[in-house]
Amino acid sequence: MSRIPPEHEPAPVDLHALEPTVAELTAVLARQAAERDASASGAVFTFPPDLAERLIADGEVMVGGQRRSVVPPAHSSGATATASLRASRRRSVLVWTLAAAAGLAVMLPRLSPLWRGSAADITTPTVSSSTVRSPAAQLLAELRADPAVVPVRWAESEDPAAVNADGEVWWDAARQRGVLRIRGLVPNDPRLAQYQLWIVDAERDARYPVDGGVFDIGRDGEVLVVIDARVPVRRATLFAVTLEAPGGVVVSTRERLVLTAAVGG
Amino acid sequence: MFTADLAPGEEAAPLLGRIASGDERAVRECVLRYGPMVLALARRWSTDRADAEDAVQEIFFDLWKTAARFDASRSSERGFVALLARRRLIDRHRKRLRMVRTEPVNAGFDLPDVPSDEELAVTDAVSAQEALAALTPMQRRCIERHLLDGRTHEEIAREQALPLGTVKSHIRRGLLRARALLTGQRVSQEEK
Repeated sequence: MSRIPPEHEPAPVDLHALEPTVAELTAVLARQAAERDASASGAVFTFPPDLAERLIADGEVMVGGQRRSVVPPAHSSGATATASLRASRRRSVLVWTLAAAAGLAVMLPRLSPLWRGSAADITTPTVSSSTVRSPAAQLLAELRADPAVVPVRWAESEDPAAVNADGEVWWDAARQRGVLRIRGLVPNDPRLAQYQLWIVDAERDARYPVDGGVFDIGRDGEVLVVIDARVPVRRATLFAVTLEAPGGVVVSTRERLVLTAAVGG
Repeated sequence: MFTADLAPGEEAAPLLGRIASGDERAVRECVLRYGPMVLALARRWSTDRADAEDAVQEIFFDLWKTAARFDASRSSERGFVALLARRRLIDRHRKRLRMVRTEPVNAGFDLPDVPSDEELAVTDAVSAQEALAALTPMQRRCIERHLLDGRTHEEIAREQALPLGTVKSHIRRGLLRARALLTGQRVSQEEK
Protein backbone atom coordinates (compact mmCIF):
# COMPACT_ATOMS: atom_id res chain seq x y z
CA MET A 1 0.00 0.00 0.00
CA SER A 2 1.56 3.28 -1.09
CA ARG A 3 0.69 5.35 1.90
CA ILE A 4 2.08 8.87 1.95
CA PRO A 5 3.00 10.21 5.38
CA PRO A 6 1.00 13.36 6.16
CA GLU A 7 4.15 15.40 6.72
CA HIS A 8 5.19 14.71 3.12
CA GLU A 9 1.95 15.77 1.57
CA PRO A 10 2.41 18.62 -0.87
CA ALA A 11 1.56 22.12 0.19
CA PRO A 12 -1.89 23.40 -0.77
CA VAL A 13 -2.06 24.41 -4.40
CA ASP A 14 -4.11 26.90 -6.32
CA LEU A 15 -6.86 24.55 -7.41
CA HIS A 16 -8.34 27.07 -9.80
CA ALA A 17 -5.15 27.05 -11.76
CA LEU A 18 -5.49 23.30 -12.22
CA GLU A 19 -8.76 23.56 -14.10
CA PRO A 20 -7.15 23.52 -17.57
CA THR A 21 -5.17 20.46 -16.56
CA VAL A 22 -8.33 18.73 -15.43
CA ALA A 23 -9.93 19.64 -18.75
CA GLU A 24 -7.16 18.11 -20.83
CA LEU A 25 -6.81 14.99 -18.72
CA THR A 26 -10.56 14.44 -18.67
CA ALA A 27 -10.61 14.80 -22.44
CA VAL A 28 -7.89 12.27 -23.05
CA LEU A 29 -9.30 9.83 -20.48
CA ALA A 30 -12.74 10.11 -22.03
CA ARG A 31 -11.37 9.61 -25.51
CA GLN A 32 -9.48 6.54 -24.42
CA ALA A 33 -12.64 5.30 -22.71
CA ALA A 34 -14.59 5.79 -25.92
CA GLU A 35 -11.98 3.77 -27.76
CA ARG A 36 -12.19 1.03 -25.15
CA ASP A 37 -15.98 1.07 -25.47
CA ALA A 38 -15.54 0.71 -29.19
CA SER A 39 -13.23 -2.27 -29.00
CA ALA A 40 -15.40 -3.89 -26.35
CA SER A 41 -18.48 -3.58 -28.50
CA GLY A 42 -16.92 -5.25 -31.49
CA ALA A 43 -15.46 -3.55 -34.49
CA VAL A 44 -16.22 0.12 -34.73
CA PHE A 45 -17.94 1.95 -31.94
CA THR A 46 -20.90 3.75 -33.34
CA PHE A 47 -22.48 6.66 -31.63
CA PRO A 48 -26.23 5.90 -31.47
CA PRO A 49 -27.57 7.39 -34.70
CA ASP A 50 -30.91 8.36 -33.19
CA LEU A 51 -29.16 10.20 -30.38
CA ALA A 52 -26.90 11.95 -32.87
CA GLU A 53 -29.87 13.06 -34.92
CA ARG A 54 -31.65 14.39 -31.83
CA LEU A 55 -28.56 16.32 -30.81
CA ILE A 56 -28.11 17.72 -34.28
CA ALA A 57 -31.75 18.72 -34.61
CA ASP A 58 -31.71 20.47 -31.23
CA GLY A 59 -28.36 22.05 -31.94
CA GLU A 60 -29.38 23.43 -35.28
CA VAL A 61 -32.45 24.99 -33.72
CA MET A 62 -30.49 26.59 -30.93
CA VAL A 63 -27.45 27.62 -32.91
CA GLY A 64 -29.54 28.91 -35.79
CA GLY A 65 -31.66 30.80 -33.29
CA GLN A 66 -28.59 32.68 -32.17
CA ARG A 67 -28.05 33.94 -35.67
CA ARG A 68 -31.40 34.46 -37.32
CA SER A 69 -34.79 35.67 -36.34
CA VAL A 70 -37.42 37.51 -34.53
CA VAL A 71 -35.93 40.83 -33.83
CA PRO A 72 -37.31 43.93 -32.20
CA PRO A 73 -36.31 46.75 -34.52
CA ALA A 74 -34.35 49.51 -32.86
CA HIS A 75 -37.29 51.89 -33.15
CA SER A 76 -39.89 49.45 -31.85
CA SER A 77 -41.67 49.68 -28.55
CA GLY A 78 -39.30 47.25 -26.94
CA ALA A 79 -41.22 44.14 -27.75
CA THR A 80 -39.28 40.96 -27.72
CA ALA A 81 -40.10 37.78 -29.46
CA THR A 82 -38.15 34.68 -28.90
CA ALA A 83 -38.83 32.30 -31.65
CA SER A 84 -37.86 28.74 -31.42
CA LEU A 85 -37.22 27.18 -34.67
CA ARG A 86 -37.99 23.75 -35.73
CA ALA A 87 -35.20 22.31 -37.81
CA SER A 88 -37.08 19.10 -38.08
CA ARG A 89 -40.32 17.69 -36.81
CA ARG A 90 -38.45 16.19 -33.94
CA ARG A 91 -39.79 17.51 -30.69
CA SER A 92 -37.19 18.18 -28.10
CA VAL A 93 -37.70 18.87 -24.46
CA LEU A 94 -34.55 20.91 -24.55
CA VAL A 95 -35.80 23.21 -27.21
CA TRP A 96 -39.00 23.85 -25.39
CA THR A 97 -37.15 24.37 -22.16
CA LEU A 98 -35.40 27.19 -23.92
CA ALA A 99 -38.59 28.69 -25.16
CA ALA A 100 -40.25 28.38 -21.78
CA ALA A 101 -37.32 30.08 -20.18
CA ALA A 102 -38.13 33.15 -22.20
CA GLY A 103 -41.02 33.67 -19.81
CA LEU A 104 -43.59 34.62 -22.36
CA ALA A 105 -47.22 35.33 -21.72
CA VAL A 106 -50.54 33.60 -22.31
CA MET A 107 -52.26 32.02 -25.28
CA LEU A 108 -55.70 31.64 -26.65
CA PRO A 109 -58.51 29.38 -28.02
CA ARG A 110 -59.52 28.51 -31.63
CA LEU A 111 -60.78 29.50 -35.07
CA SER A 112 -61.44 28.18 -38.52
CA PRO A 113 -59.60 25.57 -40.57
CA LEU A 114 -56.87 26.20 -43.07
CA TRP A 115 -55.24 23.37 -44.91
CA ARG A 116 -55.14 19.66 -44.54
CA GLY A 117 -52.15 18.22 -46.27
CA SER A 118 -50.17 15.07 -46.08
CA ALA A 119 -47.06 15.08 -43.99
CA ALA A 120 -45.04 13.83 -46.89
CA ASP A 121 -45.92 16.89 -48.86
CA ILE A 122 -45.03 19.38 -46.21
CA THR A 123 -41.55 20.78 -46.42
CA THR A 124 -39.83 22.72 -43.75
CA PRO A 125 -38.08 26.02 -44.18
CA THR A 126 -37.26 27.75 -40.95
CA VAL A 127 -37.97 30.84 -38.99
CA SER A 128 -36.00 31.68 -35.93
CA SER A 129 -35.15 34.22 -33.33
CA SER A 130 -32.75 36.33 -31.40
CA THR A 131 -32.76 39.64 -29.64
CA VAL A 132 -30.10 41.48 -31.52
CA ARG A 133 -30.87 43.99 -34.22
CA SER A 134 -29.05 42.27 -37.01
CA PRO A 135 -29.39 40.22 -39.17
CA ALA A 136 -33.18 40.64 -39.45
CA ALA A 137 -33.06 44.40 -39.41
CA GLN A 138 -30.19 44.34 -41.86
CA LEU A 139 -32.07 42.00 -44.15
CA LEU A 140 -35.17 44.16 -43.94
CA ALA A 141 -33.10 47.18 -44.88
CA GLU A 142 -31.72 45.35 -47.88
CA LEU A 143 -35.15 44.19 -48.98
CA ARG A 144 -36.55 47.68 -48.60
CA ALA A 145 -33.77 49.01 -50.78
CA ASP A 146 -34.46 46.46 -53.50
CA PRO A 147 -37.00 47.83 -55.98
CA ALA A 148 -37.82 44.30 -57.11
CA VAL A 149 -39.15 43.37 -53.68
CA VAL A 150 -42.70 44.51 -53.06
CA PRO A 151 -44.03 44.24 -49.52
CA VAL A 152 -47.35 42.50 -48.96
CA ARG A 153 -49.44 43.84 -46.11
CA TRP A 154 -51.15 41.55 -43.64
CA ALA A 155 -54.89 41.52 -44.22
CA GLU A 156 -57.21 42.62 -41.45
CA SER A 157 -57.90 39.76 -39.14
CA GLU A 158 -60.79 38.87 -36.91
CA ASP A 159 -58.75 36.49 -34.86
CA PRO A 160 -58.59 37.74 -31.28
CA ALA A 161 -54.82 37.39 -31.34
CA ALA A 162 -54.49 39.66 -34.33
CA VAL A 163 -57.28 42.23 -34.26
CA ASN A 164 -54.72 44.96 -33.70
CA ALA A 165 -51.99 43.41 -35.79
CA ASP A 166 -50.44 44.92 -38.85
CA GLY A 167 -47.22 44.82 -40.76
CA GLU A 168 -46.15 43.14 -43.95
CA VAL A 169 -44.19 40.36 -45.59
CA TRP A 170 -41.02 41.16 -47.49
CA TRP A 171 -40.13 38.26 -49.76
CA ASP A 172 -37.29 38.17 -52.26
CA ALA A 173 -38.19 35.27 -54.54
CA ALA A 174 -34.98 35.49 -56.51
CA ARG A 175 -32.80 35.04 -53.47
CA GLN A 176 -35.29 32.95 -51.48
CA ARG A 177 -35.15 35.14 -48.43
CA GLY A 178 -37.59 37.29 -46.59
CA VAL A 179 -38.78 38.91 -43.42
CA LEU A 180 -42.14 39.13 -41.70
CA ARG A 181 -42.77 42.42 -39.95
CA ILE A 182 -45.49 42.00 -37.38
CA ARG A 183 -46.85 44.53 -34.94
CA GLY A 184 -49.59 44.10 -32.39
CA LEU A 185 -49.84 40.32 -32.38
CA VAL A 186 -50.77 38.95 -28.98
CA PRO A 187 -47.92 37.29 -27.09
CA ASN A 188 -48.01 33.53 -26.83
CA ASP A 189 -46.89 31.11 -24.18
CA PRO A 190 -44.72 28.62 -26.07
CA ARG A 191 -45.58 25.95 -23.54
CA LEU A 192 -49.16 26.14 -24.73
CA ALA A 193 -49.10 27.30 -28.32
CA GLN A 194 -46.87 28.73 -31.00
CA TYR A 195 -47.36 30.73 -34.14
CA GLN A 196 -46.59 28.88 -37.35
CA LEU A 197 -45.84 30.33 -40.75
CA TRP A 198 -47.15 28.77 -43.93
CA ILE A 199 -46.32 29.70 -47.50
CA VAL A 200 -48.63 28.79 -50.35
CA ASP A 201 -46.60 28.13 -53.46
CA ALA A 202 -48.50 28.38 -56.74
CA GLU A 203 -46.31 25.71 -58.19
CA ARG A 204 -47.21 23.21 -55.50
CA ASP A 205 -50.55 21.71 -54.67
CA ALA A 206 -52.39 24.46 -52.79
CA ARG A 207 -53.56 21.95 -50.21
CA TYR A 208 -49.98 21.43 -49.21
CA PRO A 209 -48.45 24.75 -48.28
CA VAL A 210 -44.83 25.00 -47.32
CA ASP A 211 -44.35 24.91 -43.60
CA GLY A 212 -42.40 27.99 -42.63
CA GLY A 213 -41.61 26.98 -39.06
CA VAL A 214 -42.81 28.22 -35.71
CA PHE A 215 -42.10 31.39 -33.80
CA ASP A 216 -43.10 33.10 -30.60
CA ILE A 217 -44.20 36.61 -29.84
CA GLY A 218 -43.15 38.25 -26.64
CA ARG A 219 -44.53 41.44 -25.22
CA ASP A 220 -46.78 43.36 -27.51
CA GLY A 221 -44.78 45.26 -30.06
CA GLU A 222 -43.13 45.09 -33.42
CA VAL A 223 -41.06 42.09 -34.35
CA LEU A 224 -39.19 40.85 -37.36
CA VAL A 225 -39.18 37.20 -38.29
CA VAL A 226 -36.59 36.05 -40.77
CA ILE A 227 -37.78 33.48 -43.28
CA ASP A 228 -35.01 31.09 -44.05
CA ALA A 229 -36.50 28.76 -46.61
CA ARG A 230 -34.56 25.55 -46.91
CA VAL A 231 -36.59 24.43 -49.85
CA PRO A 232 -37.28 26.64 -52.79
CA VAL A 233 -40.54 28.53 -52.79
CA ARG A 234 -41.00 28.98 -56.49
CA ARG A 235 -43.99 31.33 -56.59
CA ALA A 236 -45.38 32.45 -53.27
CA THR A 237 -49.00 33.50 -53.46
CA LEU A 238 -50.01 33.60 -49.82
CA PHE A 239 -48.27 33.89 -46.48
CA ALA A 240 -50.30 32.81 -43.49
CA VAL A 241 -49.76 32.51 -39.76
CA THR A 242 -51.70 29.99 -37.70
CA LEU A 243 -51.67 29.24 -34.02
CA GLU A 244 -50.73 25.68 -33.26
CA ALA A 245 -49.64 23.32 -30.55
CA PRO A 246 -46.08 23.81 -29.29
CA GLY A 247 -43.63 22.78 -31.95
CA GLY A 248 -46.09 23.33 -34.74
CA VAL A 249 -47.94 20.75 -36.75
CA VAL A 250 -47.42 18.88 -39.94
CA VAL A 251 -51.04 19.28 -40.95
CA SER A 252 -52.86 22.36 -39.83
CA THR A 253 -56.50 22.09 -38.82
CA ARG A 254 -56.75 25.84 -39.44
CA GLU A 255 -58.55 26.35 -36.19
CA ARG A 256 -56.65 29.55 -35.65
CA LEU A 257 -55.83 31.35 -38.86
CA VAL A 258 -54.31 34.44 -37.37
CA LEU A 259 -52.79 36.41 -40.24
CA THR A 260 -52.74 36.24 -44.02
CA ALA A 261 -50.97 38.24 -46.69
CA ALA A 262 -51.93 37.51 -50.27
CA VAL A 263 -49.36 38.33 -52.90
CA GLY A 264 -50.99 40.59 -55.46
CA GLY A 265 -54.16 40.50 -53.41
CA MET B 1 -1.22 26.80 -23.98
CA PHE B 2 -2.11 23.16 -23.92
CA THR B 3 -1.77 20.84 -26.79
CA ALA B 4 -4.86 19.04 -27.92
CA ASP B 5 -4.97 15.32 -28.39
CA LEU B 6 -6.64 14.63 -31.66
CA ALA B 7 -8.49 11.45 -32.29
CA PRO B 8 -7.47 9.52 -35.36
CA GLY B 9 -8.83 11.30 -38.36
CA GLU B 10 -10.09 14.18 -36.32
CA GLU B 11 -9.71 17.53 -37.96
CA ALA B 12 -8.14 20.22 -35.92
CA ALA B 13 -10.32 22.87 -37.47
CA PRO B 14 -12.06 24.63 -34.60
CA LEU B 15 -15.82 24.36 -34.36
CA LEU B 16 -16.92 26.26 -31.28
CA GLY B 17 -16.27 29.67 -32.80
CA ARG B 18 -18.51 28.73 -35.67
CA ILE B 19 -21.15 27.48 -33.25
CA ALA B 20 -20.97 30.74 -31.33
CA SER B 21 -21.49 32.73 -34.50
CA GLY B 22 -24.60 30.74 -35.39
CA ASP B 23 -23.20 28.46 -38.07
CA GLU B 24 -25.65 25.56 -38.04
CA ARG B 25 -23.40 23.50 -40.29
CA ALA B 26 -20.89 23.21 -37.48
CA VAL B 27 -23.46 21.46 -35.28
CA ARG B 28 -23.27 18.14 -37.04
CA GLU B 29 -19.48 18.17 -37.11
CA CYS B 30 -19.42 19.02 -33.43
CA VAL B 31 -21.75 16.17 -32.50
CA LEU B 32 -19.80 13.69 -34.58
CA ARG B 33 -16.45 14.88 -33.27
CA TYR B 34 -17.21 15.13 -29.58
CA GLY B 35 -20.27 12.94 -29.17
CA PRO B 36 -18.40 9.67 -28.53
CA MET B 37 -16.17 11.29 -25.93
CA VAL B 38 -19.13 12.88 -24.17
CA LEU B 39 -21.08 9.65 -24.25
CA ALA B 40 -18.12 7.71 -22.88
CA LEU B 41 -17.99 10.11 -19.95
CA ALA B 42 -21.74 10.12 -19.46
CA ARG B 43 -21.93 6.34 -19.43
CA ARG B 44 -19.53 6.20 -16.51
CA TRP B 45 -21.53 8.70 -14.50
CA SER B 46 -24.99 7.41 -15.30
CA THR B 47 -27.24 4.72 -13.99
CA ASP B 48 -28.29 3.32 -17.35
CA ARG B 49 -28.25 3.99 -21.05
CA ALA B 50 -31.28 6.29 -21.01
CA ASP B 51 -29.79 8.32 -18.20
CA ALA B 52 -26.51 8.61 -20.11
CA GLU B 53 -28.27 9.77 -23.25
CA ASP B 54 -30.23 12.35 -21.27
CA ALA B 55 -26.95 13.59 -19.85
CA VAL B 56 -25.43 13.82 -23.32
CA GLN B 57 -28.36 15.92 -24.46
CA GLU B 58 -27.98 18.25 -21.51
CA ILE B 59 -24.27 18.57 -22.13
CA PHE B 60 -24.70 19.49 -25.77
CA PHE B 61 -27.49 21.87 -24.81
CA ASP B 62 -24.98 23.60 -22.53
CA LEU B 63 -22.35 23.49 -25.24
CA TRP B 64 -24.53 25.32 -27.77
CA LYS B 65 -25.22 28.00 -25.19
CA THR B 66 -21.68 28.44 -23.96
CA ALA B 67 -19.59 27.89 -27.08
CA ALA B 68 -18.71 31.57 -27.15
CA ARG B 69 -16.90 31.20 -23.85
CA PHE B 70 -14.33 28.86 -25.31
CA ASP B 71 -10.89 30.42 -25.11
CA ALA B 72 -8.25 28.64 -27.15
CA SER B 73 -5.50 30.20 -25.07
CA ARG B 74 -6.73 28.33 -22.02
CA SER B 75 -7.54 24.87 -23.25
CA SER B 76 -8.06 22.76 -26.28
CA GLU B 77 -11.56 22.64 -27.69
CA ARG B 78 -11.79 19.00 -26.68
CA GLY B 79 -10.70 19.93 -23.17
CA PHE B 80 -13.35 22.62 -23.00
CA VAL B 81 -16.04 20.15 -24.02
CA ALA B 82 -14.76 17.54 -21.59
CA LEU B 83 -14.73 19.97 -18.68
CA LEU B 84 -18.19 21.23 -19.50
CA ALA B 85 -19.40 17.64 -19.69
CA ARG B 86 -17.82 16.82 -16.37
CA ARG B 87 -19.43 19.81 -14.70
CA ARG B 88 -22.85 18.83 -15.98
CA LEU B 89 -22.34 15.26 -14.85
CA ILE B 90 -21.33 16.44 -11.40
CA ASP B 91 -24.49 18.56 -11.26
CA ARG B 92 -26.63 15.63 -12.25
CA HIS B 93 -24.93 13.42 -9.72
CA ARG B 94 -25.52 15.94 -6.96
CA LYS B 95 -29.14 16.31 -7.90
CA ARG B 96 -29.51 12.58 -7.82
CA LEU B 97 -28.14 12.47 -4.33
CA ARG B 98 -30.28 15.46 -3.34
CA MET B 99 -27.36 16.95 -1.57
CA VAL B 100 -24.55 19.34 -2.22
CA ARG B 101 -21.15 17.81 -1.90
CA THR B 102 -18.32 19.95 -0.74
CA GLU B 103 -15.14 18.40 -1.88
CA PRO B 104 -12.28 20.86 -2.09
CA VAL B 105 -10.69 19.60 -5.29
CA ASN B 106 -13.96 19.37 -7.17
CA ALA B 107 -15.11 22.71 -5.89
CA GLY B 108 -11.99 24.29 -7.21
CA PHE B 109 -12.40 22.73 -10.60
CA ASP B 110 -15.91 23.95 -10.89
CA LEU B 111 -14.93 27.57 -10.61
CA PRO B 112 -13.84 29.80 -13.42
CA ASP B 113 -10.14 30.24 -13.58
CA VAL B 114 -7.54 32.70 -14.67
CA PRO B 115 -4.50 30.82 -15.88
CA SER B 116 -1.33 31.45 -14.00
CA ASP B 117 1.68 33.01 -15.67
CA GLU B 118 3.46 29.68 -15.60
CA GLU B 119 0.65 28.04 -17.48
CA LEU B 120 0.84 30.61 -20.21
CA ALA B 121 4.59 30.27 -20.46
CA VAL B 122 4.74 27.29 -22.72
CA THR B 123 8.01 25.66 -23.54
CA ASP B 124 8.20 22.07 -24.63
CA ALA B 125 4.75 21.00 -23.62
CA VAL B 126 3.74 17.42 -24.07
CA SER B 127 0.32 16.19 -25.05
CA ALA B 128 -2.25 15.31 -22.44
CA GLN B 129 -1.89 11.68 -23.39
CA GLU B 130 1.85 11.80 -22.78
CA ALA B 131 1.36 13.65 -19.53
CA LEU B 132 -1.07 11.02 -18.38
CA ALA B 133 1.31 8.24 -19.32
CA ALA B 134 4.07 9.92 -17.33
CA LEU B 135 2.18 9.67 -14.05
CA THR B 136 2.78 6.89 -11.57
CA PRO B 137 0.33 4.02 -11.91
CA MET B 138 -1.40 4.98 -8.68
CA GLN B 139 -1.64 8.66 -9.61
CA ARG B 140 -3.10 7.72 -12.91
CA ARG B 141 -5.48 5.22 -11.36
CA CYS B 142 -6.79 7.70 -8.80
CA ILE B 143 -7.13 10.50 -11.35
CA GLU B 144 -8.91 8.24 -13.79
CA ARG B 145 -11.38 7.05 -11.19
CA HIS B 146 -11.99 10.60 -10.09
CA LEU B 147 -12.15 12.47 -13.41
CA LEU B 148 -13.49 9.80 -15.70
CA ASP B 149 -15.64 7.64 -13.47
CA GLY B 150 -16.81 10.32 -11.07
CA ARG B 151 -15.68 8.53 -7.95
CA THR B 152 -15.23 10.63 -4.86
CA HIS B 153 -12.01 10.59 -2.93
CA GLU B 154 -13.70 8.52 -0.26
CA GLU B 155 -14.93 5.96 -2.76
CA ILE B 156 -11.49 5.64 -4.30
CA ALA B 157 -9.94 5.25 -0.89
CA ARG B 158 -12.35 2.43 -0.11
CA GLU B 159 -11.89 0.57 -3.36
CA GLN B 160 -8.10 0.96 -3.37
CA ALA B 161 -7.82 0.29 0.36
CA LEU B 162 -5.90 3.50 0.86
CA PRO B 163 -6.21 6.20 3.49
CA LEU B 164 -8.23 9.16 2.29
CA GLY B 165 -5.29 11.53 2.65
CA THR B 166 -3.17 9.31 0.45
CA VAL B 167 -5.76 9.31 -2.30
CA LYS B 168 -5.97 13.08 -2.15
CA SER B 169 -2.21 13.29 -2.34
CA HIS B 170 -2.03 11.02 -5.35
CA ILE B 171 -4.60 13.09 -7.16
CA ARG B 172 -3.06 16.40 -6.21
CA ARG B 173 0.47 15.36 -7.06
CA GLY B 174 -0.67 13.75 -10.27
CA LEU B 175 -2.46 16.88 -11.37
CA LEU B 176 0.49 19.08 -10.50
CA ARG B 177 2.81 16.82 -12.39
CA ALA B 178 0.51 16.71 -15.39
CA ARG B 179 0.20 20.47 -15.35
CA ALA B 180 3.95 20.84 -15.29
CA LEU B 181 4.31 18.47 -18.20
CA LEU B 182 1.52 20.06 -20.19
CA THR B 183 2.95 23.51 -19.77
CA GLY B 184 6.56 22.53 -20.26
CA GLN B 185 7.61 23.40 -16.74
CA ARG B 186 10.31 21.56 -14.92
CA VAL B 187 8.79 18.85 -12.76
CA SER B 188 9.75 19.40 -9.17
CA GLN B 189 10.77 16.58 -6.88
CA GLU B 190 7.54 17.02 -4.98
CA GLU B 191 5.46 16.55 -8.09
CA LYS B 192 7.12 13.30 -9.08
